[in-house]
Amino acid sequence: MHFTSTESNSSLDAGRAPLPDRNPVQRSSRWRVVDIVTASVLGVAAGVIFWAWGLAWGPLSTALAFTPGLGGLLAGGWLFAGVLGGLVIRKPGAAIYTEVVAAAVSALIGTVWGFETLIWGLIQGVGAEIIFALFFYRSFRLWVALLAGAGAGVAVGFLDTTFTSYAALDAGAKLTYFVSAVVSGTVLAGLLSWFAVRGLAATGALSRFASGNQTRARARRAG
Amino acid sequence: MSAALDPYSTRPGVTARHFLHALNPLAKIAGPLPFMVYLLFVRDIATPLAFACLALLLVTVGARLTPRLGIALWLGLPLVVGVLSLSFGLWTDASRVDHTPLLFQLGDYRFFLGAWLIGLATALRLGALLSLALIAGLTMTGPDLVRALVQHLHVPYRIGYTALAAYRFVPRFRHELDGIRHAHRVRGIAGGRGPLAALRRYLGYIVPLLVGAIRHAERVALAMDSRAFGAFETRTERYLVPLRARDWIFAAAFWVIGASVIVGTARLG
Repeated sequence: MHFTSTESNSSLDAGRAPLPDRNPVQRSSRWRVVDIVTASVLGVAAGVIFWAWGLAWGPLSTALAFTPGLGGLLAGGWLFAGVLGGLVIRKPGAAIYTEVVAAAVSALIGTVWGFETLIWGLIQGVGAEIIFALFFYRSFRLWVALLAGAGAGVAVGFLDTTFTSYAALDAGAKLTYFVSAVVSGTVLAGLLSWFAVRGLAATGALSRFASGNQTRARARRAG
Repeated sequence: MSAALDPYSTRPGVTARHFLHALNPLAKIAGPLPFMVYLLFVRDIATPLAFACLALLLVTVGARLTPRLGIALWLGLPLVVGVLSLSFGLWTDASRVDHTPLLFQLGDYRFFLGAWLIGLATALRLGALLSLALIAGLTMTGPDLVRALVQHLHVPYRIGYTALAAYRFVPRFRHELDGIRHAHRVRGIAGGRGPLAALRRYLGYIVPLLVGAIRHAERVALAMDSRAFGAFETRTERYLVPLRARDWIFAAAFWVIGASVIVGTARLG
C-alpha cells in the first residue's frame, strides 16, 4: 500500500482547475482520505455481516453435514469484503485492507474463532488482491470479480483444509471442501459483490470513485 | 492512583490492583501473540488447556471483571468448549480413530473416543486463543490501541485514526437500518410472511444500507479533509500511551511463563 500525506485530490479542489500532474499513473494509486474512510466503512459493514454469518454458519453447516466437505459452500460469506473493497476503491491494497478490517471487526464483536479470524482475513484478502494486481488495477469487469472471489476461495480452502479440524477429513472430503470453497467464493464473493457495486453505482453513491463514474458513464451511453 | 492510561476518562472501579489496565496495549498483545501462533499448530489437549487457564487466571487477577463477565469466562467458556468438542468430533474421519473405544452408535454412524479427543483438542485451541486475546481485549480501548500503534509502531496515523472513526460507525449502522426499515414499511414493501419473505426483505436492506454508509463516509472524509487531516507527517496527541519498564517486564514475564508451560506440558505428554 502506498499512502502519502498530501491531499491534492480532496473535494476542496473539486471546483478548481486540476493541478499539473507530474506522474499520473502513480497518482491514481494514491489513497485519498475518502478512500480510507470508505474502505474502512465497507470493512466495518462487512465485519458485522461476517459476524452474523458466523452465527448462521452453525445451523447451516449442520444442514450440509450429510456430505463431508460441502461446508465449504458457506466459506464465501466471509470472502466478499475483499472483493467489494477492491471493486469500489480500485487501488492497491484495498482488497486486503477491507477484508482485514472486516475480520477485525467481526473478531471484536466476537466469533468462536477469535484471533484466528485476523489471520484468515489477511490471507483471504491477499487471495483477492493478487487477482486485482494481476490486472494492474485496471480491469474490474465481471469476470475479474469472479476470479477475485475464486482467489479468495482458494486461500480459504487452503487454510481450512490445512490448519483447522477439516485437516482431519479424508482426502476426498478435503478436495470437496476445497472445490466448494472456490465455488462459494466465486458466487457469493465475486458475483454478489459485482452486483452490489453495480447497484451502488446506480444510486450515485460512488460518484467520488472511479468505480461509480465508469458504471454511470456506461449506463448513460446505453441509455 | 488511577490505573487507566487515559487521564481524562477513567473507568469506574479500575484501581491500582487491576494492573492490566495500566499496561501499554502493545505489551498485552506482544506477550500472548507468539503463543497464539504456536497454538495454531499444536494438536494435543494439555497445551491449550494450560494456556486457557493461565489467561483466565491473569484476566481474573489483573482486570476489572463484572460478576456476569466472570461467570461467562469461568462457566460459559468451558461449556462452549464442551459443545464445540462434540460438534468438531462429529466431523472427524472415523477410520483414523476406529481403534479407540466406541462411545455411541447411531445407525451406521459410530462416535469413537478418539474422535471426541480430537474435537476437544480443537475446541480447546479455540478457547485458549480466545482467552489469550481477552487479556488485551478486556483491558484496553480502541483509541489507546491506535495511539500506541501510531506512537510506537509508526503505523501511519491517517490509517489508524480513520479506521478508528470507522469503528464508531457500528452504532450508526443500527440507526440507519432502523430508518430503512421504517421507510420500507411506509412504502408497503413488506413482501409477506415466512422465512423466504424475510430473507428477501433483508437482502433489500443491503444496498440502501451500503449507500447510507458510503454517504456517511464521504461526509466524514469531507469533514476530515476540511480540517486538514493528513496534511502533515506527524500529529499531536490528546495524551501519550507510554511504553514503560512495566510493559517490557510484563511481556518478558509472559514469554518466560508461556515457554515454561510449553516445556512442562511436553514433559507431561
